[in-house]
Amino acid sequence: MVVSFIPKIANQKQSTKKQTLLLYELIKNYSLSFSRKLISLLIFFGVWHFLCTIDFNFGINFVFVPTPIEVINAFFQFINDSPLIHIKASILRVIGGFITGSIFGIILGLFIGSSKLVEDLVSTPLELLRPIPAVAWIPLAILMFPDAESGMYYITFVGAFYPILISTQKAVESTLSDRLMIRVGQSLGANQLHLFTDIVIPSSLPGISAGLVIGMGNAWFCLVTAEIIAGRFGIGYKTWESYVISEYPPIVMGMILIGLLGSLSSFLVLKFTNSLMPWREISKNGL
Amino acid sequence: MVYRNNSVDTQIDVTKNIVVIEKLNKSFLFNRKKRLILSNINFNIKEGEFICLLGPSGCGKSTLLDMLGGFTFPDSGNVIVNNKLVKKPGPERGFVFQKNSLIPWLTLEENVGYGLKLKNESTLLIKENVDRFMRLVGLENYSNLYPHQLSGGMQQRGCIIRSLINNPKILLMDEPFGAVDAQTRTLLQEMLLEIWRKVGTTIIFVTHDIDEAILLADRIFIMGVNPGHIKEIVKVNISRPRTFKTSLDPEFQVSKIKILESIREETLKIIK
Repeated sequence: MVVSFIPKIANQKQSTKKQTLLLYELIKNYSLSFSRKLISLLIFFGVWHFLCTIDFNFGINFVFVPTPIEVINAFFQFINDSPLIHIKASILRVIGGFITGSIFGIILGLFIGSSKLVEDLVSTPLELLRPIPAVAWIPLAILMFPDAESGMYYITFVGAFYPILISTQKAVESTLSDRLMIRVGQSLGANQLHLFTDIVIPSSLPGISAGLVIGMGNAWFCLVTAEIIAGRFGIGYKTWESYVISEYPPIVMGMILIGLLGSLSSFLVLKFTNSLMPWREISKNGL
Repeated sequence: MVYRNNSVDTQIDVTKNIVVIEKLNKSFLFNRKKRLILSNINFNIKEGEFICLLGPSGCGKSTLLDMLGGFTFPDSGNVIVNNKLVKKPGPERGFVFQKNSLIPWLTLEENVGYGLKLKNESTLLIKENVDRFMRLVGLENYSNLYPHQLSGGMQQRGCIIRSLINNPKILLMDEPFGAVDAQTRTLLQEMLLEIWRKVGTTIIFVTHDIDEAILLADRIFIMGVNPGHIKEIVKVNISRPRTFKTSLDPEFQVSKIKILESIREETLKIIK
């Protein structure tokens, strides 16, 4: 949008009055958007509470679903009861899986996307393994890895790896199918290596970024699955354990906590990757 | 012109012709059927000339330019630039594309300096040259902006100097002003003539705009269709420097009518 353009060029020429007007406009837009989001959240919790209090049971049964207030109570109990050890364990598992997934996914994706030879050599077994859900990996993860911890890393890795791999591969392929930027590089004297580092990789970054955001989400998806094999700690473990001992509010608390941490980390990934791409112009009003 | 062996440059007679195209044929596959696009193209271009390739859409003028650029190759015949057979793209043949082709993730300054950076030139030398060329086209105040922050005309100026900074033997331009508005186009044309006068590079400029061709060119190669061929070569005798007022010159009108008639014949062939 123009916003990125204004501070650089038009600044000197604009009067301060115009600038304050612009700032006011920006704040107005942000607060409007923020209040819309707040309202949507309130409605969500309101509907949930309402369905619980009337014991809604029509196709879907809300009788056993804890109310938002019970969940909040469970949350405070969790906070008072050494929560960091669980949160830390889970975050480490997610980040570990995500980082290894990113490294393998991006590198393999770049090579598969740009070389027919590599694609032929490695993509068939990868495609065979791709549809296997994380849950199905549990027995092998227990058998293949020396301890439960590395098995859990493996499961979050599987979740993160595939979306990153596929997005990277597709992004590279679409860069290569539009010859323009490649031709520009060639006509300026770029060799194969330059084309790869200066053209193919930056041009694929938006696609890779999307893969990283989805991959981060998927790693959290797989957390509960992974922590089924956990011995003692983890938010996913806590959620599963509460189900086993029929204590319902902590289940929902665990779900919400995973949702929160998941969206927060996806947001951070998005912010980080966007900071790598200052050249991009994103305007959703311009559709 | 004696041309014997493409691997031994010394056997080629050195002439003043910077571009030589001999007995060139090119066909493409359309639905598994071979279709001739360019048939028996022969021409020479002298160093420093400004040539316009003019013809209706589909006459193969862009394909011909692509072959000079080294992006695609003839089925038979030779494309020789600066006494060398064209085998791949390279900085000695600058190319300005029809679409905006500044690299989106580089600032204007980085785009313009990219060719020199690839040659591992020093930062200081790159900076000096970039500044000089930016001033030449009036872009010196926009160095740190990204391409999407520039207007279409600025982007094309950037593309032109990005090629020129490599000191190319020829500059190949594929309808570079096709996407900008009419007023900007006139200014860009005058600017291009001014740059050409200063730099002296040979330019081959593809266009379907007759006025543009007459304003810019020393010689206009009019291309015919089915299959593409050089129909006629028109020499433009209007004195330089030329400006927007040149279109009022009687000589301009004479050339225009002559070319219009010639092109009209070809366009009719397509429509029928």
